[in-house]
Amino acid sequence: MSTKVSRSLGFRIAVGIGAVSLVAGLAAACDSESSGSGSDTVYFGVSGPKTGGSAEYGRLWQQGFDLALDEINAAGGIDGKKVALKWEDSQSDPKQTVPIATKFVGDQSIIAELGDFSSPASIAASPVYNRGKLVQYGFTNSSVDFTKGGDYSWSPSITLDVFQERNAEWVKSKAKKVSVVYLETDWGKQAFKFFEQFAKEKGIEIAYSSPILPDSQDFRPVLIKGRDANPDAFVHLGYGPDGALVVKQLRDVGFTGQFFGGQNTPQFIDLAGSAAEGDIVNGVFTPSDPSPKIQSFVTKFKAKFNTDPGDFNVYAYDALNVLVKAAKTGGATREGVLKGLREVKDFDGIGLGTFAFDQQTRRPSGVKPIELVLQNGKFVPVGSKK
Amino acid sequence: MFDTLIAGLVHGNAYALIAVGITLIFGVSNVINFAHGAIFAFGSVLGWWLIAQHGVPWWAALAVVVAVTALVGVAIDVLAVRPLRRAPAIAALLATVAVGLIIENVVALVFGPDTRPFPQVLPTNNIRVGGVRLGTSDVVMFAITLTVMAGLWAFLRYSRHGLAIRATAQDPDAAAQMGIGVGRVQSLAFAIASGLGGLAGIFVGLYNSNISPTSGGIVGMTGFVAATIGGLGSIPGAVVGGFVLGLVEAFGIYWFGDGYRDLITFGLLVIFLVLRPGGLLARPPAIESEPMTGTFLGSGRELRVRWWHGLIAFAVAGVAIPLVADDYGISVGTQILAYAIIAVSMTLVAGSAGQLAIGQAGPIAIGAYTSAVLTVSHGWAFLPAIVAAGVVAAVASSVLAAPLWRLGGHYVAIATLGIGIVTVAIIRNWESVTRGSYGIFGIPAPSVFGYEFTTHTQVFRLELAVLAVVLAVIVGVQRSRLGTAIRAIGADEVAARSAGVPCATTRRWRSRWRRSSPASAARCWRTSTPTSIRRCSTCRCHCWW
Repeated sequence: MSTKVSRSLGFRIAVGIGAVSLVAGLAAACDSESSGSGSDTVYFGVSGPKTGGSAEYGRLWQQGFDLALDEINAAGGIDGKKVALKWEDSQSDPKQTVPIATKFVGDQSIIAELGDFSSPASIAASPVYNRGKLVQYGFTNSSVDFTKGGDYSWSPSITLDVFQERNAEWVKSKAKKVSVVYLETDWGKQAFKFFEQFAKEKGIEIAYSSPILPDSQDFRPVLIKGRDANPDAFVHLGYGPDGALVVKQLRDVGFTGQFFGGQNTPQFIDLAGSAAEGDIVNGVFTPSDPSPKIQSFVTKFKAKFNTDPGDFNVYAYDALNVLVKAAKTGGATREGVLKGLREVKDFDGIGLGTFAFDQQTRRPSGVKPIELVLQNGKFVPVGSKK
Repeated sequence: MFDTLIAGLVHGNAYALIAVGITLIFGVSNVINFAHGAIFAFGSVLGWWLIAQHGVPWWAALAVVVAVTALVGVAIDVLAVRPLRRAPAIAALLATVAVGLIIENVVALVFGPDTRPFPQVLPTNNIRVGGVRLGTSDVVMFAITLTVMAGLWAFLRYSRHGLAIRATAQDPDAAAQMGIGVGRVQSLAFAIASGLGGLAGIFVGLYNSNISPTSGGIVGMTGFVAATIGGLGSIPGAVVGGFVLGLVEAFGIYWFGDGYRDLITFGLLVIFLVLRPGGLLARPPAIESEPMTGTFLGSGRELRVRWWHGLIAFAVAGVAIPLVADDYGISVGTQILAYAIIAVSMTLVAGSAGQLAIGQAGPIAIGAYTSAVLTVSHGWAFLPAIVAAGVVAAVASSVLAAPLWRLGGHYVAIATLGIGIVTVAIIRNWESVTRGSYGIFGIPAPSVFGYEFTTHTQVFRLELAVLAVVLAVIVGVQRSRLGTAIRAIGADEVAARSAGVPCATTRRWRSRWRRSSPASAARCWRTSTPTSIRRCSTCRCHCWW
């Protein structure tokens, strides 16, 4: 490297650095201006996927939030203050949730955070929220570890152990011997660990099991081997898109038995088509539930989006309503939301019904999923209720 | 077992169609087209749009998709590859990576990002022979592959344009002197290859039953592995490579489970590069051992920086930025610094030595996991843990890369890519130590001599200090005699060899240098006197010592 330097270049570098610092400073200044406490709008931060592999779930959340916001603001918001969201696209990537958390903690106009989609992405950001004393409401985080992050990490999501205990119970009524495929992720492996444990307790034999990679497209080699183990049923522990591929290719390799898996989303039903007919899943909600509260929600949702709501719409809708109720009770501040979550005993949700939080686990006490069967392109509830 | 064979053949067939496109472009333009996967995904989404959304008959959709993707291929050639004809090969390669990302994102914006079902225009499992099931679509795809390959072979063998393509592939300069419009031939190759990519998009969509605009990345990469196994530049090789890869994958996944897919695919690639770098059918080595990036620097204008410029920049970054930026800005800055440290290490390899290491994910993952495992599971302190991480990453990647340093040019890029993916796959499957896909969390905040770095600003400054140390070491290396040797190889490996620089050994040192203690490399270099010429025992070339 040469030591010959043009003076003007050094000057330019210095000016460049100065300019960058100035812009950064201005940006910071602008941020703090917009977050003045005298504002008549209350903000909730959303850290969730808008692009990337989980973008579909961000879209479903947005629909649920939109409907909830319409109703909340029509009813006067929180103590006369309008409610709005500040959404940051995290791609559900732990590398991105941490800076987003820092941003939310620094933005004083935000009184609580919603998300992220996957538990690892949320857990990565938990220390920042807990240090910053901002409630992190991971409403789709079923990993048992998530709420261990600290006093500010809350989740209404049913935990994986409960989900898989129920799942094994339903499998038991249809099959003695099963083959299992599960997603090769933190979530999928925990789900399989719990399923394995409860299957053993209930006397179900796991004849074959294999992880599947989230970006795999062709599962036939593992499905052929799983089929050759002669199971009564096939169990899939994963999300909607991979579940649809698995069940379709399962039919391609000639397995005609019972399938447990996929997800209660319109996308899964659409992708899997007739191959998934008779599929049994865990759910918190079904549009065909006759209760008037749920039918009124379904009607409003269909009027706005022209499609049936699914679990992830309901999760988002309920999550925002719970936080707003907490803020109404405790006050529209960060401490107020925490106070509300601790004190309110009758949170009301489309998916979970009426519930209060267990103060030790920061999860709803005593809620269980329902058993749904796919019939004629719709998930309908069967015998085993909550 | 027999249906696994069929599954492997059907998938291999799809790989073959993709690999032929990659290999054809490589043969004619000497460019690895990383946009090929994106074209494949575009073909499948366009096919879906025509058939499912507009009721176009499937055969007509097929024709439209082939025509449109062929045009996109020509556009890639004209807009991204040809302007860089005189630049080193890496420029065109990076341009195709960028074009691939642009196509992928435009397709996602226009058609929507979600996964969707591909219409079942042909039955997929209606033919049953014994216990085996396959569909009309598979038979049609197989017939199309055979027809296209035969047609392509006849075209290359007998037609005037085919002759021009072969001549250009063999020696572009000689072809140009004989009056062949090399540019037009290159565009023709891009058109044929991309049309084949679009065709593959439709059939793979039919076979997998679901498609998405982002499916191209993994497919393109696998097609690329197939092309390398067959022999880059050889069309029959691409077909054979596709089927070999399809079968090995199907049986490997059948036996070991889908969690090992990356390990199987890219492990096969690495094995081939070690044992038979030219692939199954090409003459090894099919590609000249030619530096990819060295002359890139020569054509650029160097930004000259004195040491005190660096000092001022670091002082400003360490003092002024934390004063003006908020926590969010600082945490973004911390990520930028991490990328800067990676970039500095890559500069030594890519910028100076003329090799393209695109598999830097491997050493990064090894380092990250080593330090995390040591601090979380074994209670090590921060400083010894990062030093150990550097040493382990350096030793492990040197050992992994050792058999590959005799490769040159594009093959180094391919090899580092393969090793990077294999490393990550090993880490994921080595659950007893790495916790696999559970990941490791709860890593304690760094602490040096009792001082704990907890706030964003403290971590930012710590990372700034690490970047300064890394920069100092790299600049030191570049100014040393070893650095001169590395740069000589970067500028012109053939000339460097003639001048007696021990190329293969230097590359190995460089890979150690880049990551940790340079002591052993430096000792080895210093103890030899550069006076006599003798045969190097490692690289079997004549060297000055």
